[in-house]
Amino acid sequence: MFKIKTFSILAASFILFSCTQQSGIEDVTTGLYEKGGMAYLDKNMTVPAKVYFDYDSYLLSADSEGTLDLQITWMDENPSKYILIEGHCDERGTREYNLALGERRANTVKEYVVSMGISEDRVNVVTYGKERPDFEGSYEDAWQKNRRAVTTLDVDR
Amino acid sequence: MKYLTKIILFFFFYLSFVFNVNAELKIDITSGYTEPTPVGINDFIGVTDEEKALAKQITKLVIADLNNSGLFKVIDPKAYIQKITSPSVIPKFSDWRVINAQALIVGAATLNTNGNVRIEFRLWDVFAEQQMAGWAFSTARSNWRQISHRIADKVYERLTGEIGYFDTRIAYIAESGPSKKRIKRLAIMDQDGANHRFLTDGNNLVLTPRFSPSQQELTYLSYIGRIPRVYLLDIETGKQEIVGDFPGMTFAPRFSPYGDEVIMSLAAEGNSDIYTYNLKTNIRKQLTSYRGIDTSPSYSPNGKRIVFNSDRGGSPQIYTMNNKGKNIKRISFGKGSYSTPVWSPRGDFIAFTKFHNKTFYIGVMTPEGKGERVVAKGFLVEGPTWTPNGRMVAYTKKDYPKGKKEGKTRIFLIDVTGYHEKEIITPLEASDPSWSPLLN
Repeated sequence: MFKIKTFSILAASFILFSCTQQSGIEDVTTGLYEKGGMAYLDKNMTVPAKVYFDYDSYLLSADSEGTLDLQITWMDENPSKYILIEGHCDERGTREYNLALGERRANTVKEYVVSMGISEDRVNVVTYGKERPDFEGSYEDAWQKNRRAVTTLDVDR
Repeated sequence: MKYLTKIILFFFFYLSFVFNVNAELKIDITSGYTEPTPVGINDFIGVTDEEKALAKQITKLVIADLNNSGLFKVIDPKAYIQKITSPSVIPKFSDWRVINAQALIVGAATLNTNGNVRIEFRLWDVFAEQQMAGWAFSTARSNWRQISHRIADKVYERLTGEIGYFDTRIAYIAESGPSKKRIKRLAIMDQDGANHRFLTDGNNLVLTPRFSPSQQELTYLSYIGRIPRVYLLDIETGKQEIVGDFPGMTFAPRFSPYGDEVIMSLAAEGNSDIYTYNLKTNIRKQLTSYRGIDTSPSYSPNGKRIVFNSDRGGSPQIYTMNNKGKNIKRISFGKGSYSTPVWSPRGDFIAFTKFHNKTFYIGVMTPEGKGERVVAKGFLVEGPTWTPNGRMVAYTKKDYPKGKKEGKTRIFLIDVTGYHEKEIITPLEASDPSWSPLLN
């Protein structure tokens, strides 16, 4: 059963991939388009979904603000969409502290987009602490990519 | 015959009786490394084949408990000179002294016609030639494991002066799958790994289970509905309910010492504060209001003070406060950051996780922040939990990576003196241990 399921997912991904070579693969749980370890809010992959943080920090860099500005424009163009911002941490912190830090990172993104005119009602946050790394592995590059906030589509709304 | 007086107690209560002893055997386990004390265990005696089989299981379990503690070394039975065939005869002590047994355990199992079993045991001080403990239980046969753990507990107690911890359970998180899509399930087992069962199916991410003082319930974090919130689980019935209707994400739960409250963090608008929720009155109280991270609260055993983790000083550090949220004092001042403080059930120490110079440590210090010492370290060690006697801590340990391959995550147990580190064997990878209080 597992094999059949895996095969059909592979087959489906292959079909999807071959049909839309210029775009990413849609992840149904986040509504994002993914390709090469990157994730985007739009099919054409012009609006990156992730921003990154320094160790034990929740401050936005200028690069991050640039990414969020693209997200804000996209939200203005797609007024029916609701977003859920996930806050994540690398593994070098305790589980509980990282849950708090992840919430703080997600909230920083929320505050930024709301300050730029997006209705607060359209923005929700969730923390995953260090529970859902983007990259496997216990080394600096992986940790750097795991300290992130991801703007996903709130598929429950 | 005065040493052979027998007291038989039925069902689940017992009385240990103390003899007049001088200079009895006492192992000091408070001052640091101690060589395991050699003890002899005469095979528990059974007469019928069925009794012999049960007696063998009891012997095996008592040996495993004592050896696993790191404080005792059961001498290989092949070296035994005397073979004792009745639990009520006085051992030939010289035979046991020759093989350097400091203490000797003798016992028997007798099946009754009503299907119950009578398990008796005696602990002898070989050098003082005195009985140190002795009792008998009559109970349902299915309770043999529990009785055997209690025998090991009694031995531990009489020889070390500390309360035993063998008749206890561990709740933890069983982990499987790649780290990006890790499956986590709530699981519970006896401290020796027996009676293992999963309490959740893995569909929702679950974290940080903690026992109630009655050890009938767990409080833990679950992502039911994609929102992290604190839940309560009745271990026997499997009934699960949310703790309080908080406007945000709740996490880092622990019970108060009397079990009437759950203390936890509420995260909302970039701010995590500590709250209590009374399970009987449903009253919620906010204890901290610093605009930053306040988390990982843990009550002192008398309920008067709370130790917690906060970044109010610019990095994660440990603080104590009273149970009204006042009189806040920082107690961690060493190098690095400090998190997940847990108050010992004895009240004398606080165990914590420390991160400094790319290494994680499990350490202990007094509630005033004095006498800090490291008990374990590694690539990633965190989340200590105390055994109910406050002598040992169990914690999560992730091994160093091998190249780009992540290390395995498992639970280890270590004495507060920093010796006798030992893996707690689990069927899958494991994290977030919570040691139960003593079973009654």
